[in-house]
Amino acid sequence: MRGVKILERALAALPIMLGVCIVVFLFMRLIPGDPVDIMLGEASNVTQEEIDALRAQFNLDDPIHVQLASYLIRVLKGDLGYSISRSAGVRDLLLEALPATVELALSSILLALIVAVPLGIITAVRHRSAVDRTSMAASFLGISMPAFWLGIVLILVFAVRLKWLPTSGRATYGFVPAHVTGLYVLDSILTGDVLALEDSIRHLVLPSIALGAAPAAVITRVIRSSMLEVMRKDYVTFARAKGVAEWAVILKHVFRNALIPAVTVTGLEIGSLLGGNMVVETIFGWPGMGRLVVDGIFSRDYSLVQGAVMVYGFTFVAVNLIADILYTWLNPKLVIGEKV
Amino acid sequence: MAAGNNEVLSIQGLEVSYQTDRGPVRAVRGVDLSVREGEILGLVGESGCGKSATLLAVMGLLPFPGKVVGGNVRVNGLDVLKLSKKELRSLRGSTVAMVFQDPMSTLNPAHKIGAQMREALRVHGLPCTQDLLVRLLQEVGIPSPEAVLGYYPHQLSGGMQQRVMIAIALSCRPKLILADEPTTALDVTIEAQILDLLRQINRERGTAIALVTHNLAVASQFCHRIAVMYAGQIVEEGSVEEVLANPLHPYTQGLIGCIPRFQKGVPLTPIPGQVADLSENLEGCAFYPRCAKREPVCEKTLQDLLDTGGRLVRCQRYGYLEYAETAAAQDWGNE
Repeated sequence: MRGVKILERALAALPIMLGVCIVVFLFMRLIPGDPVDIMLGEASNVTQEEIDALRAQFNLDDPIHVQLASYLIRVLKGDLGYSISRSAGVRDLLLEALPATVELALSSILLALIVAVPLGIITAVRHRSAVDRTSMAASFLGISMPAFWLGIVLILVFAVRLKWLPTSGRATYGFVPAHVTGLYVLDSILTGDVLALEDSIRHLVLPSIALGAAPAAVITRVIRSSMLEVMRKDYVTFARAKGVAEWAVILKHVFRNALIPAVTVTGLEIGSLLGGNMVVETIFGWPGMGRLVVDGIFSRDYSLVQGAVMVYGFTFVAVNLIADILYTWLNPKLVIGEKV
Repeated sequence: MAAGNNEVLSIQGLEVSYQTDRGPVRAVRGVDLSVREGEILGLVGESGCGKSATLLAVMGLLPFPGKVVGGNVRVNGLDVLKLSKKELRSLRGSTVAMVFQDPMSTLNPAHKIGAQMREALRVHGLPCTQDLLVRLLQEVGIPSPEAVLGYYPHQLSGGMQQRVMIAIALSCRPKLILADEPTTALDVTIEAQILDLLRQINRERGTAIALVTHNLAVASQFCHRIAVMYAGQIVEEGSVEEVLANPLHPYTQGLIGCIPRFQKGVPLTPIPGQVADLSENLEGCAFYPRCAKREPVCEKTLQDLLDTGGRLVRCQRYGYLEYAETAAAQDWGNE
């Protein structure tokens, strides 16, 4: 029963994906200039015939609906096209960049949760205390600080001045672990490569903090306010009336029921992190999806950007589906497919 | 079971105050109350009169910013207000259990019935076998208890949820059950069933029950003794028969006037006015502004509870009223 529902939801995502595909295809072509213009740049010694020949080579001279149709057919066959700017298959480029972004996204959200969950609980339990006020002020700061600014400050302080951590990249040359999943930390654990493990973690720290600060602040606030709301519920008083110890009341009765909004927000944050933060990846020289898209847009690399946006769409749908499944576990009243 | 002489609950001079931005609100203003073994006491009054606050104070569960600021509370001889947090926890659920108003919001929606029952037993170090849980559910009249253990609360009706809550309350064999409007959220037919169940528990196990209700009709069917509360004070107390047959306090008389009777053409007599504002310092009788039998003296002086031979009443006019009524009755008889 539950399996069928999940499958239904997954199938319902297909038209969404198709829509995303078409919209991105059309929007990319709204940007003035096509790949050929960008490739040739300011060069003055090219004739119109040569330009037309180049356009014809990439099928850019076909009417737009023909281009769209042929693109959709190729996508359905699993062919995401060829990146003109990088001279490589789009699928290969994405498969290379995706693990980098996934690794950074996961470590950012993990960091955010490690901070946010205990802090959210403590601030709710010690409502209006000094801890609460300080944390709320700090979280306000966390929400207000732009990630790129925080990233630059972190690089300046911890990499440039203190020299504790590397400034950029995923790994020091020569320390890249053997390829298993593409996630360096996981790969170095799987292959037992201690040096690579240390190196990849050192590279992850600063970008993870830069990216995780805002989600940490948001999730702390959501957990806190939702805990405060649940604490007023009758079943919490009833649990106390049963003689349940205070910590158990907080964790088993309050926290568990306060999780639903937190799961929603965390899901959304993961979704956007998996898209790769373009600015932070650029600052930290992180070879992920975000950088790929930025480069792709500047060089009007249609296939590359389209392919990347498809991946975004897919991860967003997947994360939402996972969040939906989690809801039904957290709140037994819900059936998958209902909105909270 | 007839009431014994040992007091399971004894409250003396209880004062509860809520700190608000506008100053303290004195929700309970010097309540004396006792419940004896095997007795059912009804605590009756309008919403906001402090009856629930009294029960929560007994459990040490007053919600923030409520605080006990005076008096003492003894449960089974233990001074509740002086217990450590740990001692208080071991008292809750085991010696004294509580049944709440709205079963739909009192059972945790995220845990199965079985888990919630087991928790109640486990925190007091009691065994919680499947057989025991099934038997507890059977005792409160739940059909197919084995299946119900695996249900989530929302899969049960309100009446069934209330039975589960009672089963949880009973699980550690408490001496006293504090029932805070246990039937208010239920249909009338279910209400009768739940009251029957509580009465049966009282009879068979001798569990004392303190029932808080705003419904005098419920209290009159169910309790041995009732205490009527108004604005944080007990205004009248006595056996249920006496209080109903011959209410002494004008407020009780007013409450009885509000009970619907199935007689055509007899209008209900509501009590005019609003419940007193407890943030103000009340000098005289709290019921004064609404009282039909008030005299200027009532506004300035507060009457202590008068003992009138086993019955208590807090009214300046008590003696006069009785005299006047007797006189009026005689006049009427003479005509």
